[in-house]
Amino acid sequence: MSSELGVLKTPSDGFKRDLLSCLPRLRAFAGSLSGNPSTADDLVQDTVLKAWSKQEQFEPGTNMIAWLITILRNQFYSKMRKAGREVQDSEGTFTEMLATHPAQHGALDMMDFRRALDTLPSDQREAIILIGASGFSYEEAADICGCAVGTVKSRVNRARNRLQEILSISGSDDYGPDEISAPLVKRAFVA
Amino acid sequence: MKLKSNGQMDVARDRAGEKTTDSATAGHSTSGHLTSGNVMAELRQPNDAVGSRLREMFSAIEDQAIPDKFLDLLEKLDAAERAADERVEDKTGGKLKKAHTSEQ
Repeated sequence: MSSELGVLKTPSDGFKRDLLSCLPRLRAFAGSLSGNPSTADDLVQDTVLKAWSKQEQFEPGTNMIAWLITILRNQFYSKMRKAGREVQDSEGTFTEMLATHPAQHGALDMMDFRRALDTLPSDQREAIILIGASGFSYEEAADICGCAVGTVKSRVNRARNRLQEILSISGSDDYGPDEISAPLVKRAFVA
Repeated sequence: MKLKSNGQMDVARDRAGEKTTDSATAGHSTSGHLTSGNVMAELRQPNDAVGSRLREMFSAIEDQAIPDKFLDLLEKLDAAERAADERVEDKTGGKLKKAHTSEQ
């Protein structure tokens, strides 16, 4: 019995285990990027299949989650190109995604945030998710996106500024800009 | 204002509002200009208006259990690979397989 297991043991055992341990972060990245749980899980599934078929290209000991996210974002962009435009989330599914989690922010607040995030160009959205939520360094994010470190920095910068603007406007009663700047900001945003 | 229908959320939002006031307004004064030297550090502040929401969205998904379909998929891939390996061994002749088992 034990000899049989010994014969069957393949190098993919370690790969499978590592892949499994990356799945929560991979799903979180996919969900944050796409805003839609079923789109996200389709992306994750495609990524798992692709990663499995390319496993000999993965160098053990290197950053597997970065490698997986690189594959996933390629899937995401090729899907987007095929679809012709970005498919936005329906509000129900996003609420579902957050439903069971202890929240610092209310559900409606998070819904506003999701909408704001969806207004960003996807290159800015992915940059701010990689840096602000996934915990990657600028260098890692640049590798993942196939662009220069400076490009990532500027995308994150623009994304954060834009999101702050939108959040300040939508929540101006609570924590927005002061009374003098608020009308200016609102006007600038509309125009 | 639309939150008034739900008292609980209202409170939660007000509380979040208090906490994020500083970073939100501070960030706002520079919005539109790429003056900030360390956006990454600012984003990773616990109370950063944008960063805290990004992390909440991300961890809400990350903390979920992995759906069974992914576990099943990995099992299937693994099983298919093992079966393929066995077929290769069969093709290369019983010798290889015998040598393997006798080693154990």
